Amino acid sequence: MTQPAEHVSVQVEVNGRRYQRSVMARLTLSDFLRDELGLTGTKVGCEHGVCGACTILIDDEPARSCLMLTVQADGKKIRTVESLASGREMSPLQACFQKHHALQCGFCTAGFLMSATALLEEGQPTREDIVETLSGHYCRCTGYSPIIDAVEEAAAKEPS
Amino acid sequence: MSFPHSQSPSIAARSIGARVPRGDDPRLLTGRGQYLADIVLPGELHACFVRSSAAHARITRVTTDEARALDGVVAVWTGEDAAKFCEGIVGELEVEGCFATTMPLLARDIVRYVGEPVAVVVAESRYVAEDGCDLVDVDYEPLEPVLHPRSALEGGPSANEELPDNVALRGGKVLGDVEGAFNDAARVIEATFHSGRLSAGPMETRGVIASYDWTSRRLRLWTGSQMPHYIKYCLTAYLGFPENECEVLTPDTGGGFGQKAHIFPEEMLLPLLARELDRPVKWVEDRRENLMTATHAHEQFIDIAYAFDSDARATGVRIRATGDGGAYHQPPWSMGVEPWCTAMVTPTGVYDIPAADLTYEAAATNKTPIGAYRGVGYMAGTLVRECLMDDAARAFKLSPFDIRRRSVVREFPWTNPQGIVYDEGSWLQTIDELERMVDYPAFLERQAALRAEGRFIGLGLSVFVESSGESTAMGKAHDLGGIYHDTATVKMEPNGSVTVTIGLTTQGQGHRTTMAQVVADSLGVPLEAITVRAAESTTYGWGSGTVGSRGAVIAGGAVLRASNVIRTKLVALAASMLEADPADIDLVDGAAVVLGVPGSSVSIIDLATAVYFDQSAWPADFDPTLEATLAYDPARPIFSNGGHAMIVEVAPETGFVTVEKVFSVEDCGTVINPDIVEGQIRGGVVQGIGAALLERLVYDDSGQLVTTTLLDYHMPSMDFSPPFEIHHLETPSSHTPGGIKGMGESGLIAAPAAVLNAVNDALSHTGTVLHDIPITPEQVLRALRG
Amino acid sequence: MKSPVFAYAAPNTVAEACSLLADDEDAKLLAGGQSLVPLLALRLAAPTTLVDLRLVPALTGITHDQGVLRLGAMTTHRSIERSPLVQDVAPAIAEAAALIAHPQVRTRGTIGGAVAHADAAAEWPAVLLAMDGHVEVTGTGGSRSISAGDLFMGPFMTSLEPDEVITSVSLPIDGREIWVDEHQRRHGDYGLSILAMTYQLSDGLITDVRLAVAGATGSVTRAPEAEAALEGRAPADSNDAITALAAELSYTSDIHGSADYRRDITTTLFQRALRAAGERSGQA
Ligand code: FES
Ligand code: FES
Repeated sequence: MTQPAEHVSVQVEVNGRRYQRSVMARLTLSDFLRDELGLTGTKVGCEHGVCGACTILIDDEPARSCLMLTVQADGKKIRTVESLASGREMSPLQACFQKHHALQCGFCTAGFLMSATALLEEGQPTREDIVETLSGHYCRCTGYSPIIDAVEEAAAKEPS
Repeated sequence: MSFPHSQSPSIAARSIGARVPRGDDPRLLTGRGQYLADIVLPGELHACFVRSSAAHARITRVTTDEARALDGVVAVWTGEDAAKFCEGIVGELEVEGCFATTMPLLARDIVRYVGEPVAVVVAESRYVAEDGCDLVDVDYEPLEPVLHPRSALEGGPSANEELPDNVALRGGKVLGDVEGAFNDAARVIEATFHSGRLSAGPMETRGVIASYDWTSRRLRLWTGSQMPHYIKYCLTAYLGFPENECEVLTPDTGGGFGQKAHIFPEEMLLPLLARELDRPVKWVEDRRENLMTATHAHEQFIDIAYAFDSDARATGVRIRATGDGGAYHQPPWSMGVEPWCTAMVTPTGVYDIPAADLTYEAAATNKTPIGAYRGVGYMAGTLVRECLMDDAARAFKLSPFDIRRRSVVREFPWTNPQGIVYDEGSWLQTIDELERMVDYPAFLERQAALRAEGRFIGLGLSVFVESSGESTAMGKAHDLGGIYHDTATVKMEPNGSVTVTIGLTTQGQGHRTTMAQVVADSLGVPLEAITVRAAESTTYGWGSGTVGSRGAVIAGGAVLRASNVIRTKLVALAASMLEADPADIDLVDGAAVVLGVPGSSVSIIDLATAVYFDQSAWPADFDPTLEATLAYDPARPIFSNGGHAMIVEVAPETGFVTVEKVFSVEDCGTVINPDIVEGQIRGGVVQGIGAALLERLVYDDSGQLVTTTLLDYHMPSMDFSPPFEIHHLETPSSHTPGGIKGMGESGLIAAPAAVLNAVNDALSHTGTVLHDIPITPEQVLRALRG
Repeated sequence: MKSPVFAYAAPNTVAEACSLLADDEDAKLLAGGQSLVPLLALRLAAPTTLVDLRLVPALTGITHDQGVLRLGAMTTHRSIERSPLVQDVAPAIAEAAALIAHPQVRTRGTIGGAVAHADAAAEWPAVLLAMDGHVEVTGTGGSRSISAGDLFMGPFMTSLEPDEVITSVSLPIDGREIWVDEHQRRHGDYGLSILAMTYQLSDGLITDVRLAVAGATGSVTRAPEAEAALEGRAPADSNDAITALAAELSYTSDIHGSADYRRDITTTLFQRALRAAGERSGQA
């Protein structure tokens, strides 16, 4: 990719599946996931990196997919909300979201789930860790405290 | 006048009242929700709008050639093209002194606010549509922008020549002996307030997809609207599509909060484009457009004064509420409803104030039109009333609880000077309960102790009564026009499972779950056997919109009436099969049982099967239709009430305000699902904290909107979210299904006042009293530094 | 909100990157993209070529050698925040990294990108100025080192040549005290005021002080008068310096706060820094 070009070829692994595509260089990763791969669980709420709705995991770290060009993910492993349930069972985190009524319209939810998933995978977060990490996400419906409660309970359940 | 569709049958609460988890959640949690942008139609085109860069200007030329020539661009329309099909959408408020405006679908000749659509580019992708927009050249000849509502009403240039004196709304009433109240007052407490310009800011922006089939003349329109039936009506009224061939579909919707309860030019343009271009056309609003052009909300300047007698009882009120309306009325709510409601409805609140001088006005300005956002009129009205109550408490050296108890209405039914009748309420108990929850003496001690350390906390109180279950009766009670009713269809299948269709759309409020709870109790079937469809298509039912805290009450009433028809049939059939008196039959736990005769029962499944397949079981004259569609519109206006108390801390280094804790009391009659009610409270309160401390749409002196990204328009994030303690009071309505009342707006209605009062309490040692929201850190710091 | 068209290249060497930049005067470098991608989406930036540094080896990594902490330009804020090495030799730098935006942005945003972007409300430029850091840059004409003082020319302006690439950032670790602090309205917001200060403490006196402010001023800036007023004083004896800091900088006004307000809260940040210095000298 040393010659400037408007189209680029990318290879990514998304939720354990490998994809090879030729895309516009300007295509954001969020648009790629949604429009090219049909993984519409990832939401776009602002397209300028503030609301957090588009958050996914790239090589296990949370990132805003609207702030990345697709080509920047070349060779990387991506996880989206579609990967969280195993078989027909929601992850403990997802179950805690339901239990605590941590979603209303659900538009922000995938982003929260992905950031929280990374947080739980890193260890046992405190309530402060949760607030610090999830402050990078907007939710206009819930007033947030049920989300904190849900992640806290999931953390307590997490085998560590 | 009484109509059958205002009668709601009684219901025994079994599932009602339980914390039933939402059936929608697994779908939404696993990324299977289907929101507007997730829908892809074969061959769809993408629309993008060229929007005015000027606040007020004459369009001298629009050049579209380059855009049209761009590869991938299919069409470019300007105002002239749109006007061939539709002159514009007309908005006004049906009250005395309101003057209508017509909002063009695309501006012609003149633009009247920054962001007004001037042209639309339709292309093979959104990327290319945006490229096309960049190539459209618009020449403007500047006109003077009108930016200040109160000076606009005094004369000068017009923001919109349809309203030459900028008066979009002006009126009022004097009720009772106001002069006397103020002449005899021991004290007059007064202030001028400004409540800032807000965006409802749903996490999902607006969007529309239109698809037209010329062979059948069938139009399908997807939009995350709170009022799909109204949109469908407009497709016929404004654009001439045959209404029977129009279908408005509402996918999963990422919040609405009133912003999506309007008709927008974009929603009218896309059907025309789809028809003329013969391809589906999609528009997904981006966040900048949302902040700039989706309706703004709540901004008002309000002068208000209360007369108090020597016992600290409020005896009279004067209010002048001025709305900063933007350039057009946005139908159906208009720029008028905000100041009208603040002036005409809210100044008396829960208090027995016999005399009121009420003035409302809305000025046209060169800004984005004002529309609905949770707590229309009520939020600002509650802010000014409750803030002056706390000012009065300080003046009379009473506690904020005591000052309110002096004036609170204690006996029901109560008729306020505006003539509105309140049948019941727990207005006094709310104040008492909040006082208990905050442990006021302990708070005062802590406040004093912290002050000695140089830390400043404050307690703010705000109590409210909220009109809920928007209905025809509610409109009449307020001298407003408007006919409302919704239908619901309940259908039982041969295996006893039930499909329910309601006329209301849902934006996250969990209607599918709460309505299933109502049906479960009416028919005695388990929740798993009930599927609720919430106006996913206007093909089913009729709905007046998910607005005015009406969802649970109105849909609940319609669902209950419809399911009662099924219930009556099941009971008749069971009585015949069990050889019992229908009056002795109850439907519970999946079976029809004979009361007092243990063991005498038949399962609902067997009953349903018999209706479809076993004529021999039927009683005489049995009609086997297990499907009913009925309407509901409550006979009388319904009011819920409640209050919040908040404790805040202000930081002496920065003036930052932190909400430490929220105490909420809510009385929405019978609670269908406490989880959902509490979710509505928390969400609304945090929006209110945003309105009080963070959120502000700012225009500069040339009428440019400064806050066009979320980097500048600050919404509350998780670190702004306080812990809550919520207490339910239950004063059931005597005439709604099961006694339920609406409450969807209460959090935002009353929270800003509580925050402002708490900050003023924290600053009470400084002598500064703030009357504007949002409260800026700078104001707080100034106050602390003296 | 979609980016305009551009041509994209991901060179494998710094030299290639430089020549790509030299070939197109409207080319722009892409590091983590956390500032550039939103500017593209808003169409506030419209480069014709985007030169992505992600495939250039040796641009990441953190070393500590001979009193210099060297951070590869493509090192993310997150890895600086979490680096055991940084936490060990200069914990204040790890903490400063944690002040930047939100974790979801820090995982992608890079120190080189942030420095080159030179946002007036960003943390790294203030840290670099206060620490007397350097950037190593390479252009078509060769490599050079630029001191922070010579690098930042104004808001979003640096002295980098159009064909130059920042390859690493060097921060001296010389036993001087480091203090970085910020007033953010909400977690992760751009700083209303950012203050970075380095100094020596000997016998309870502050010497060799370097003070930098960002966020509150139109661009990141040193405060020479406050520095001079502090020189040789005890932390408690700092009234002159506080007055000087309030007077010498030109504070900015915008919708998030007036110049007066920014002056006031910058003063409180400075007072916090001095309190901390007092505590440190008490411990010493
Ligand atoms: S859509 Fe990416 S942060 Fe909002
Ligand atoms: S649930 Fe609606 S935005 Fe979070």
